[in-house]
Parts: sequence; C-alpha cells; structure tokens
Amino acid sequence: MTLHDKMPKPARRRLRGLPILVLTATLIGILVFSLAITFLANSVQREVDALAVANSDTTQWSLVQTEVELLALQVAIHMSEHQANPDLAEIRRRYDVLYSRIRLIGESKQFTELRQNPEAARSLAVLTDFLDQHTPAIDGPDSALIAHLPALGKAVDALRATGRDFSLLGVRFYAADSDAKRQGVASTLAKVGYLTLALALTLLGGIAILMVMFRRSIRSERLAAEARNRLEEVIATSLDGIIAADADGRIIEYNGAAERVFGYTRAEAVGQDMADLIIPDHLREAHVAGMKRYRATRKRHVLGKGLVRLEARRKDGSVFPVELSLSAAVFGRREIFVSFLRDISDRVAAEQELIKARDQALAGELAKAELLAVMSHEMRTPLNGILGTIELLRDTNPTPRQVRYIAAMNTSAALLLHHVNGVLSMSRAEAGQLDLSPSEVDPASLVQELVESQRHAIEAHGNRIECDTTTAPDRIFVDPLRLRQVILNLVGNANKFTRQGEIRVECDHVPGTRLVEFRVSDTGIGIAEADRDRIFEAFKTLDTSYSRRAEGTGLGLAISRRLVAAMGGEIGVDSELGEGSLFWVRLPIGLTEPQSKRPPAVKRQTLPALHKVPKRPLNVLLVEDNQINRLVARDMLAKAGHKVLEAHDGREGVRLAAMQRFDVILMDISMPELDGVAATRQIRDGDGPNRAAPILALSAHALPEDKQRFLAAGIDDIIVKPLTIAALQQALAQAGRPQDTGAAEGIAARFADLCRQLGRDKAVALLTAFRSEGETLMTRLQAADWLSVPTNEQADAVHKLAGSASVLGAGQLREGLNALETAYRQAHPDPATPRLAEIAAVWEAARQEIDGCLGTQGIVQTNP
Amino acid sequence: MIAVYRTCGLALAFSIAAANAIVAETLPQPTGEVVLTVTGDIGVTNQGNSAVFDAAMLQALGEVSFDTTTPWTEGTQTFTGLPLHALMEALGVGEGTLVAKAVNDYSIEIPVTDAVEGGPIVAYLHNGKTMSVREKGPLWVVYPYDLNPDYQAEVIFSRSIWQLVSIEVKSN
Repeated sequence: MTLHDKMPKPARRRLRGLPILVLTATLIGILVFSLAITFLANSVQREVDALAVANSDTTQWSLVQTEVELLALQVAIHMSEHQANPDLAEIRRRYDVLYSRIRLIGESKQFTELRQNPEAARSLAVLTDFLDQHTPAIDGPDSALIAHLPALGKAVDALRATGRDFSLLGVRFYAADSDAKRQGVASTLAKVGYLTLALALTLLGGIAILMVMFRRSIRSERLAAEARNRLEEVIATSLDGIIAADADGRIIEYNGAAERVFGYTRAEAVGQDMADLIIPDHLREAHVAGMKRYRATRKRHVLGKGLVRLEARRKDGSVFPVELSLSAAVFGRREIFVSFLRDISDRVAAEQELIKARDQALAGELAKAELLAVMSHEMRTPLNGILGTIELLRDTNPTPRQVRYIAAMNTSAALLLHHVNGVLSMSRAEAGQLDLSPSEVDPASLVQELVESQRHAIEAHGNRIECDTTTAPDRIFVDPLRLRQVILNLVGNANKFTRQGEIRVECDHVPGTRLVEFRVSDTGIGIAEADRDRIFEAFKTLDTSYSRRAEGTGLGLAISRRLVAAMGGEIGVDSELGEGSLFWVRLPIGLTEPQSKRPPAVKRQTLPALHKVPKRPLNVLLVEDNQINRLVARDMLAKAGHKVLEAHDGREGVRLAAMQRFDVILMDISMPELDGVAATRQIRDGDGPNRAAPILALSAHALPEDKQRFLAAGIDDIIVKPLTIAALQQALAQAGRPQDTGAAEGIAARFADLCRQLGRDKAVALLTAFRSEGETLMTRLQAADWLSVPTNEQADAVHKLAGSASVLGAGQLREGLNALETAYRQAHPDPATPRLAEIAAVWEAARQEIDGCLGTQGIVQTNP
Repeated sequence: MIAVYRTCGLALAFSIAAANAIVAETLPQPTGEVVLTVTGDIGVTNQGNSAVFDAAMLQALGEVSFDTTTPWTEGTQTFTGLPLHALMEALGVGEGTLVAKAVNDYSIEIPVTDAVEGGPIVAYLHNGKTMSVREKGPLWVVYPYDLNPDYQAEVIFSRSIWQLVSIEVKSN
C-alpha cells in the first residue's frame, strides 16, 4: 500500500522527469526526420518521374526515327526514279511521316531542352527549311511532283548527313542529360539515405531510452513487489492483529494474527463494518461518534496517540482487553485507518495477579509489623509492671539473698525489655517510622564517653578497648542518640565475638569528603565473606557457632543499618575469618562550615535522689487501667510523699478530675474505651478545676507523631515507660512548681477582659447573675436539711457555680467548690461540712470583689 | 498470377456474353476511305477476315472527349474519339493483345485489358479538328494521362500510337 512511498523520492523524480524530456525530444526528432524524408522521397519520386518522362526511349527513338524516315523517303524517291509510273502516294506518305516527325521535334515539349542546344537548333532549322521548300511540290499536282522529284531526291540526299548528325546529337545530348539527372537523383537519394540513417539512429536512441525506462520500471516494479511481499510477510507474520479500514469503517485488510485474536476469518471480516464486528456494545457508540467527529473535524483522539488500552469483542462475543495503536494514512483521496491490536488478556491477568500478590505481600508485611508492634507493646506493659515492682521490692528491706534474687530478676527483665524494644524499633524502622533529632555533636567526646561507659563490661569479658579520635572532626550534625545506639551495638558485637582480644574504636574525617567515619575493629572470630551481607539482614544470626557464643535477637546490625541509612550514611564490614572484623560507619558531617569549639552539650541534669522528699507533697491523680502498673506508680508516688487518688480508667479519671483540683495528673495513654488522649481533651475542654492542671502522659509510645498528638490534646509532658522513680520525680518536679491559678487572675481583671470581649453590659449582666447565683447557693448550702441529704442535684449545683467561678476568674472559690462537689459525689457529706465555712469565707471575699466591680457601676446588692 | 488468370477468366466470360450480343449486329460496309483495318481474332468482320472502318463508322461506334496534356504537345489538348473498349466490344474482342501499326511503321502491343471505361480512346479529333498524317492523324490512340496518374508512364506513352492504320487482334 505504500509501495510508491518505498521508492526514494529523487529516483522517482528522475524516472518521471528526465526520460520523458528525452523521449519527447526523440519523438520530435523522429517527426522532423520523417517529414524531411517524406519531402525528399516526394522529390525523388518527382525526379524519377521526370527522368522517366524526359529520358524516355521514345524520345531518342523519335530522333533516330527522323533519320529512318528520311531514308524511307529517300528510298521511295529513288525507287520511283526509273519508273514510268512512280508511286507518288508512297512518296507523299513518307514525306508526311517525315513532316510529322520534324513537326513533333519542333513542337513537342519533350524536345524543349534539345531545341535550346544551338547545334540541334541549327539542324532543326535545316530540316524545317527542307519542309518549307518542298511541301508545295508534294501538295501540288502529280505532274508537278514528278517534275520536282529529282530536286527532292537531291535535297533528301543532302539532308541525310544532317539527319545523321541530328540523331547522333540526340544520343550525346540525352546521355549527358540523363547523367546529370541521374546524379541529381543520386544526390537526393543520398540525402534520403543520410536522413534515413539519422532517423534510424534517432529511433535507436528512442528505443534505447524506452529500454532504459522499461528496465527501470521493471526494476522499480520488482522493488515494489519485493517491498509489497516483505510488507505482506510482515503483516502476515505480525503477532499483533492488523486491521485496516476505510473512512466508512469497512475492513479492507485483516491479517492472520487478527484471525487468531478475533476468531473471524479474513473472508468473514473483509468488507464488514469494524464497529459491528469487533467493537463491544458498550464502546460502539463512542466509536461511531469518534469516527463521525473525525470525519467532520479531523480532530484526532485515539488516532496517532500511541498505545491505547481498550476492549474488543471476539467472534464468540467475549470481550477482552486490547492494546491498540491507530493511525490514519491517505492514499490519493482515500483515507484508511490502520489499527494494530494486541490481545493483552494474559498481560492484564498477570498484572492483576501481581497486584494481588503485591497487595497480599503488603498486607502480610503490615500485619507482621502490626503484630510486632502490638506484641511489643503488650509485652512491655507487663514488663514495666515487673520492673517497677522490682524497684519497689528493693525498698522493702530485703535480705542480702533476696537482694541478689532481685538483681537477677531485674537484669533478666531489663534484658527482655531491651529485646522487646529492639523488635519494636526494628518494626518501626521497617515501616519507615524512624525519627531523627539531629543536633551538633562532638564526635570525639561521644566516642570517648561511650568507650568509657563500656570499658568495664569489656574488660570483664577479658578484652581490652582502645579509642583513637585524634583526627575526628570537631563537630558533626547527627542524632546523637541514634549514633550512640549504632556504635554501642558495634562495640557490643565486637565484645561478644572476641576472647582475650582487643577492640578499637576510631573516628576520622574522611579526607577530601564531607564524611565522618567511625570504625569498630576487633580481633575476634571474624565473618566469612559469604555471610558479610547477610549479617545486616533482620532476624539473622549466623551459624550455630555464632549463636552458641552469642545471644541476641539478630536485630542489632539490621537496626544499625537502617539507622545509618536514615542518617544518610553507609555501614559496612571488612573481615578475615579467624583474625577479626572491622565495621565502619560513614555519615555526612552535616555542617556546612567547620564549627568553632563550643562548650560541650549540657549534660542531662543529674537525676534527683531516689528518696529525696519533694519540697511540697503533691496532690496526684493517677489514671491507669493496668492494676500492676497502678500499684507500682501509686507506691512510688506514696513513697515520695505525694498524695495519690486513683482512677481505674479514662472515664473515671475525667470524672475525678472534674471534682477537685490536682497538682498533677498522671495519665496512661492506652486504656480501653476512653484513652488517655481523649480523657485529657475532655478535661482540658471542660470547665472543671483541672482544666489547667499539668497532665503527664504515661506511655510506651514515644514516637514523634504520638508526641505531637499528645501535646495537641493538652498533655504537658510524656514519661516513657517503664516508669522509674527517677523519671517520675523529675517530671513531678517540673509539674509541681507553683502555678498561677485562676484566682491570681482575679475577678476584676477577668471582668475587665470580659468587658473588652463582650461589651460592658453583657459583662455586668454575667457578673450580676453570678453574684445572684452564688448568694442563692450559699443560702442553700447553709440550710442544714439540704446539707444532710447530699444528692447529685447538690453536686450539680455546686459544679455549675464552680464553672461560673472558673469563667469569672474566682479561682479560690472554684477550688473550694470543686472540693465540695467531690465530697458530695463521693457521698461523704461529713468531710464536706467543715469546708462550708471556708467556702462561705471565700464566697464573702469573692462577693466583695464582685461588688467592687459592679459598685463602680452604682449597682447595689439588695437582698440575700 | 492466379488472381490475374481468374480476372482474365471472368473477363472472358463477360466478353463472350458481350460478343454473343454483338454478333447479331453486323458491321456495315465502309462508304468513305478506310482509315482502320482490324484483323486477327475478331468476332465481327465486314471484309473477309477483317473489319474495316471509315471515319463515319468509327464515329458511329462511340464518341468520348477529354482534356489532357501529352508529352508530345504544348499545353492542354482536347481529344475526341472512339473508346477503345467500345471498339473491342463492337468487334467482339474480350481478351488478348492488340498489335497496333502506324503509317510510319511504328508498331506496339496493347493488351485488351487496357480497353476500359475511362481508358484510352482512338481519337479522330484533336482540338475539335480532324488530323492529317502530318498532324499525327488520322487516328491516334490517346490515354487520359492527366485524369489517371497510372497513365503517366513510359509504357503507356509507348502505347499511345499515332498515325494508326491497323490493329491485329491476337488471342492469348
């Protein structure tokens, strides 16, 4: 179909242009030569004719005949000389014949040229003279003729020489004339010959050109046929179905692959409407509309857009996915659409399979990570309980033997917690949840401190440890905790696999780079080359000998690798089996400029002593659902001299928090129904006495996003489990600082605020309503019977006023009312009763303050 | 050659039919001077084995006239005479060769096939006048040279016998 396109364009032009020009020229040449030849041939014809006429034998015969007829006359005259009765008729007839002959020569156009010859003219004149002299005698009477015969005889005798000359002259003349004419004819014939030769050559040339053109056309036809065959071969063997359709959508080409794909044979398909044949019902409308639109606007949608995924229909009606590439080609005025179609059912199926497999794998991974996280968390909660209890146990005056047991328990529990934390951080790291808090670090001191902290354990294992940080950079920008974790892990591993050897920890600035390298080398058992990559994989411990000699979850290096990667660095190992290993960690220095030495980072404050009595005992609300943890925490707090109120879940925590003010609330995060975050939010959002109290979260989660969530809910700080006395003390020390209460704000200040915010009138109305409300409640509280029957209604009324007091800045009143409400709700009317006097006093103070505010407005309280 | 024979055969058949038609007519005897004597294989005679004609008899047999140039004259000439084919019919000659003879002893063979309509005539008038012997008369076989290019040929010129006096008919 695009055969003509297959020929190189210049060749086509040559084939079209040049030979046609040459051919035209040749044809014109042939025409000219033919005309010339025709003209010359005509001329030859004329000349030959002329020759034939002029040089006719009869002409010469006539001349010779003159002499013959003269002789005949002479004979007739001489015959009659000696006769008495001469034959005059014969003489006259011979004379007339001669006469006729001479007249003929004198008049006929045959002899025109001859007559112009002077010699001939002279002879003719002699002959004519003869006739003129003797005709009268001939025409006269017989007697006169007889008398004239002798004279006539003499004249005829005399004339014989002339007659002879005349005929000889004729011979000469016509021979020369005929020669000349022959030469003329020969020359013309030669011209005709040359022209014929030229014509023949031209014809030969034309034939040669035609031959060339013929051969070229044969050749291009052959090339075209080859290209066509090749194309047909390509089409036939194409794995893709190829369907060509005309502008009306009728199929005009349909290859073998299409037969296989669609199930229609070529004979069935060709001539059919593509839309009816292979386009599924739900796409047909779009197809028809598309064709119509294309015909109308020439705007292409699917056309020439490369591969498009669509659906097609087989002969059996089944619809399957195809990949389609559609292009339009124009042949002359005809436009055809060529589609390449590929059945991608298998691929789509495979893709779906893959997607399913991936989803399953992901779900599996997710499930695994979740399981690990949940397990770790669930394991840590009881572990925290154990550790906390052990710590409490130490303070129960145990016997020395018990102290040893407690120490053993503590070590085991701590190790177990370490493993659980390892698994947890592994799964977090796996889930991409690693969080880094980079800061400026002095790598030399970090390494030195770390080495010093480990020296005891290493020497206990029979090894020596050295450290070289002379070429370390001054400052790097990393997460020091993570870095410490990694190096510690490497040092721990080195110690595990080395006996009576040496461990070196070094730190270098990698020359020519912005990298810092930490190296931990040992003289231990080493790692076989085949294992060097595996050791960084999760849950991998090497062979049995490895596990025999060293315990571990096998997570250390995997976590280290992930940490290092998260810090933008690399970790690797060089090792000789039996000679030792060298682990290296390269990290970006992270600082653009070398920093001047700064004082080392402030060390963490020394933790407060275990039993240091706080400055003031705190009123603590402990919200914790786990009984053991609650017990541990309560005992720790009580030991430290604090007063603890326990809540068994979030709901109870919120309820208690609404009743009385606490100096601090310890809030467990993971609780059923209402968790710590939601409980905190309720406390903060409510108008209870603790809406501003410090709330500390107790959590095994210390992830940054969790932290965000906690802080957003109103939690002030997080104590990461396991709970230790030290951590608790520190957090409480922070939380227990004297706080500004609502009372410090003062009613007057609050009133001023309200005036600004709501307008004076509303503020006055609010304050007036509050005063009236307070007076009413106080009156009721002092009624003995009402007091003696504590009800929820009373608690609610107290609660309501406490809320108002809170809003209006009456802090002391609010606290008092909160305590009262708690007392009512706990159904302890007695303890509440002594408070009444206090509350009354507080109310009196508050009322005076209110009156002060309102008094400026000239409003006078009238009745209680 | 076969074609020629066949044509000749056909011509023979026609001529026999024509001869039969003419045989009934007998030639009259000449009253004037005999100008033409025809001998040989002729179907009609009026004097022994010959057919003799005076000028009037020839004129009576037929008269046609045409204009032509000739090699022997200057300018266009008008010839009037008896068509040769009419003479042949009158004599019952359908084939053969005519051996024509002239006063000047010239002699030439004319095939009878020359005797056709529009063909040669035995002219007795030249430009409306009778011809004397001195003017190639009294009879002259003339072809209409200008009317038929085939007659512009040497052979035809040689058959254009003047001063004609006798014809001998030879059948093949």
